[in-house]
Formats: sequence, structure tokens, C-alpha cells
Amino acid sequence: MEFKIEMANDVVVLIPTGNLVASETESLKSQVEKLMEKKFRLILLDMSRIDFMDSSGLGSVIAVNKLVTGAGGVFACAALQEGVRKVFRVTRADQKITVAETQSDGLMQIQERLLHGKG
Amino acid sequence: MNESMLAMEFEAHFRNVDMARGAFQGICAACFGTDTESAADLTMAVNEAMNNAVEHAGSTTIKLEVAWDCKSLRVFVISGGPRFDPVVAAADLDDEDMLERDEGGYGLYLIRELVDRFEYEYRDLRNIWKLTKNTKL
Repeated sequence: MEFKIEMANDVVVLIPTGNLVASETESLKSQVEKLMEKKFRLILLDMSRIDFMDSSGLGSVIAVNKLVTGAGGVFACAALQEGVRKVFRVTRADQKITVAETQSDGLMQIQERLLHGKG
Repeated sequence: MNESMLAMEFEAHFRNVDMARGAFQGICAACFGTDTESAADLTMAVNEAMNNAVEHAGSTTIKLEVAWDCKSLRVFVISGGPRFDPVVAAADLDDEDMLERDEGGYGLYLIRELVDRFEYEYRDLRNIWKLTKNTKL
């Protein structure tokens, strides 16, 4: 799995490419851990280039959400492809993690949550 | 009614699950045609069943048998190891369980929700998971 990283003001936009599956889950976690070590606390996971995600991949997204919010940060996912969106919907993960339609919506939601003091 | 069949056996590693999933996606495309949602649902369910076999069954190899005709696509995921009935385990899960779960335990629920029939058999010391998805033809 490859990662592209962009900065939008204080928010790190993490853009993985490939399949988020059991064989790849550690790469997402370690990427986020590296960002946390560098004191970044606002992270948007742009999932537009994730073609397929299984329950292990979902578990890794839930784990990084917990990692970031547990450290007082804000985490959101954005731009989910239909199959990935369905996994979030069926497992009710979309009720635990902020999910935005587009990357720009995600950036806005992170700023709003920051303004309202929510992790 | 013409039935097509394909079987593959692979070493129990997640990397091999990725390859088996790729092959299975091709079968789904042939079977479901423009019904890409059904194809995606069954691909996800089969992927979860194979992952479970790699992670929990303690089997060195996993066998995937696929049979399809114009009415349905049926998949058997076969692995060794102790008896574990996923259908009974999945039947116990509900929406509230999903909300309370943390990082794991979504696989069986996904299978249950995404296939039309989910069956289990333990035969000759092997766990046999049978997943069926009907075509919309």
C-alpha cells in the first residue's frame, strides 16, 4: 500500500492507494503512528483510492480513529468508494467515525469539530 | 441448466487470500454481469470467509470451490482445524453488537448481511462454509 500525504492548513490528509485488507492493515496503523510521533493531531483519511476494504481494514481504520481521538486529536474519513461505504454502513462504523462525502467536506468537518472542542 | 465449476487450493496466508479474491472477482463478473453490487457483496463475503480460515482455522491450506449457473453462485470455503459453526455465531449478532464492537469481529456479520444463504457443515475434520448469492436475472 502506498501513501500520499498532503497538508491543508493544520490537517494532514492521508491518501492511501490500493486495497485495505488483512495483509495491509499494519501499514495504515504505522503511517498514522508516525504522524502522531511528529505531533500531528488532525488527520483526514482520504479513501478515494481504496478499491476494496475488508473487516480487517475497517478494524485498522477504527484503531487509528481511536489512536488519534484518544490523544485529543480529530480524525475523519472522506471520499469513500461505494464498496467501502457499504462496509461502513453495514457494520454501523459510520456511526462511530466521522465520514465525509468529499475531501473538502472532510476538512470542513474537522475544522468544525475543532471549533466545538470535539475529538 | 449449464453449471460451471472452478476450484483452487492455496497455502493459508493473507497474501494468497488477496490473489484468490482477484480470481474470484473475475468469476463474479462473469456470473453477475452488470449487477456489480451482488458481485461486490459476494466477493466481500468470500474474502471474509477466507480471512477467517487463515486466521482461526489453524489449517495449512484453504480450498475454494465455486459453482455457478444462471440462477446463483455458490462458494465453498474449506479448511481444517477444530469445529467452528460461523452460522450460529453470526446469528447471535445484531445492530447493537456492531455499535459496541471495537476493532474486530465484523467479518461474520458482513457475511450474514451480504449473502442470500450462509450454511455450515463439518465433515471429515474439515470446516465447510457455504455461501450463496442469487443472480437477479
